[in-house]
Amino acid sequence: MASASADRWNIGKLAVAILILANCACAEFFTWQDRFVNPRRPQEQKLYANLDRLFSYWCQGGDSVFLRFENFTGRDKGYISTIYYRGVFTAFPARVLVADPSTPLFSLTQILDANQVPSGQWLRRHDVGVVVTIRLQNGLLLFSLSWPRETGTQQRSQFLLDQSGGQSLGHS
Amino acid sequence: MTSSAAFWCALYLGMLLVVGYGVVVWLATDRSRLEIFGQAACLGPAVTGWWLIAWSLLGHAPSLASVSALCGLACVSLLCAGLFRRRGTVAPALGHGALLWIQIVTLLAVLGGAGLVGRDALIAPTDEWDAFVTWQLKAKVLAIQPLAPRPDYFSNKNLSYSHLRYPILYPMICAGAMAVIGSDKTGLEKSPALLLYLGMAAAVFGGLRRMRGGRIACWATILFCTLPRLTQLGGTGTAEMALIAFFVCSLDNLLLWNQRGRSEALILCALFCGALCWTKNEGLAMAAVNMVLVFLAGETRPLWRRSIATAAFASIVAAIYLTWPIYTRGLPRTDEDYASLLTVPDVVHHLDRVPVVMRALLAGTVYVPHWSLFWPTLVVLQLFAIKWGRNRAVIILWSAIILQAAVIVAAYCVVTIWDVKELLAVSGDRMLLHLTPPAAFLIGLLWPDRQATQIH
Repeated sequence: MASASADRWNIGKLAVAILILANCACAEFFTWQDRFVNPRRPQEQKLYANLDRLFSYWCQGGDSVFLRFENFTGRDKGYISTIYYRGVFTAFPARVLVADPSTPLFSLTQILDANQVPSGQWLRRHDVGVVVTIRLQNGLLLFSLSWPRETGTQQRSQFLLDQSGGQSLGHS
Repeated sequence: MTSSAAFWCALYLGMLLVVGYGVVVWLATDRSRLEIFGQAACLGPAVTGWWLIAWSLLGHAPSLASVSALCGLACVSLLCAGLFRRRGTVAPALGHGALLWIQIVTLLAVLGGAGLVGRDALIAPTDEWDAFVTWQLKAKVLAIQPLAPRPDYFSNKNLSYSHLRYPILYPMICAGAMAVIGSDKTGLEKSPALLLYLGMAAAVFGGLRRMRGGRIACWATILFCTLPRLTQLGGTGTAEMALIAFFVCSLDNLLLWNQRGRSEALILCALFCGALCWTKNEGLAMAAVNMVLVFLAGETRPLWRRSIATAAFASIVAAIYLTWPIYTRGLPRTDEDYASLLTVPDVVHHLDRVPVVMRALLAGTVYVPHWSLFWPTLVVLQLFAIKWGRNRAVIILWSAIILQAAVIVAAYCVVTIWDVKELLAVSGDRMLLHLTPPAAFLIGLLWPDRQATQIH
């Protein structure tokens, strides 16, 4: 009787051990999948890496950058906050502006409402070295640059990023 | 990661550990070496963060010199402890010791989790949304600019999205890493998360081994430390790892206070609760819950003694935390103004959210890719261990889960300005993560064991 009870107890322990190990393996598997298989992550990482490169380049002199968003609709509006927030993080201590610094920006709607074309005087007052106009055209993010301090506001350069965040497609 | 960066990173983590030992050596005299390591690995970053905040308030940004000075003080403390302190008697662990193969499996599971956390903390760039939007942006600010005079960041309303008034302990710990390792070594500033993960694992294991024996401690540690959501978020640069590690250590000390009534455990618990308050707003709720539990824990002691213990606990936490509300008092309130939403009409108006929130959180507990079988295991164990329902430690831990869950539901129902379903989708998993530390201890306490059936 005692032996049968001990057997049952041992089988129970074995079952629990197998359950825990299965649980452990499943936990490691899901984390691994999230890190290396989830297709969203590589896309995000590429987009962030490209944005980091661009913002580091634009802000290397320490001047502020003004971002102007055009032509973003529906779900694509999400790119606005992604680009702005990532830009602020990468460029710091240089400033990335989308609106007057006195405007509270807490959500995408607030960014969109406040993102107006600034005057030359405003740009000078806030030490803006580069104005980047960002458009979404045919599924591509298009970055147009102008330097307000040099002979007015002239477009000089364009960078293209595909929406998956892949390689920068080229610049002119 | 270059070899030079690896050296400075290892040095910083070593200094954090030494600082932790410098404090814990006076307050954890009757613990096993592993438990002391766990407490030191979690307290070291917190104390270093407070030290750097104090220096920053005096006008000095974090630097290698300031971290080294604190490390030097910790070494003096260790030396004095070696000379003057009498080591307490470590109570023998209860129940079964773990078999070798179980110990090896536990070690592999924890190392596996540490590998996943370490990969994100040491190698991967900062690409978690919350990390670069809030925590690591603050770390960059604090690494460059001291808190006095107040940096422009705190009054720049454009950056309201980064929660200007959020507490800054974890960003300051990361800023310390930037100061020691070099701010150009982007990514390594997240490295303290690895130390916190290892400390958390050691604290859970050490605490449960003390209460239920090595074998049960192994199983519960495996279940907790391989939680997918924990290893997925731990090293990404958000404050979750710090919050969970501090909560684990505060509960471990709370249970020891309940078990032995040692004031050192209560002081350590209060220190970790102070760290919780400085880490996230949710940490304030955790500290408040812990304060209630300190009062509950002394059930067998006279009311006056429990009241004094609770008051002392609250005083320590308040003394640690009050600097931050004073510092942020004059800042513009541009993000969620929770207090202003706590009015009777608002509360009544949002009561219909309760079932939505409850359903979402309960459904979340059985989502295997985030929680594996952690939550179902807890429920099954509780059903099999109804007879232990009156055990004080079990009551304390269930109270921690229920009170914390009530705060979470209240926050979603009453004070959020966002669409609740949208908010639940992006943050519900983190809220459940905050409930895992008491659940992990409960799993250990409720685990059936034929020989060691008594829960201590």
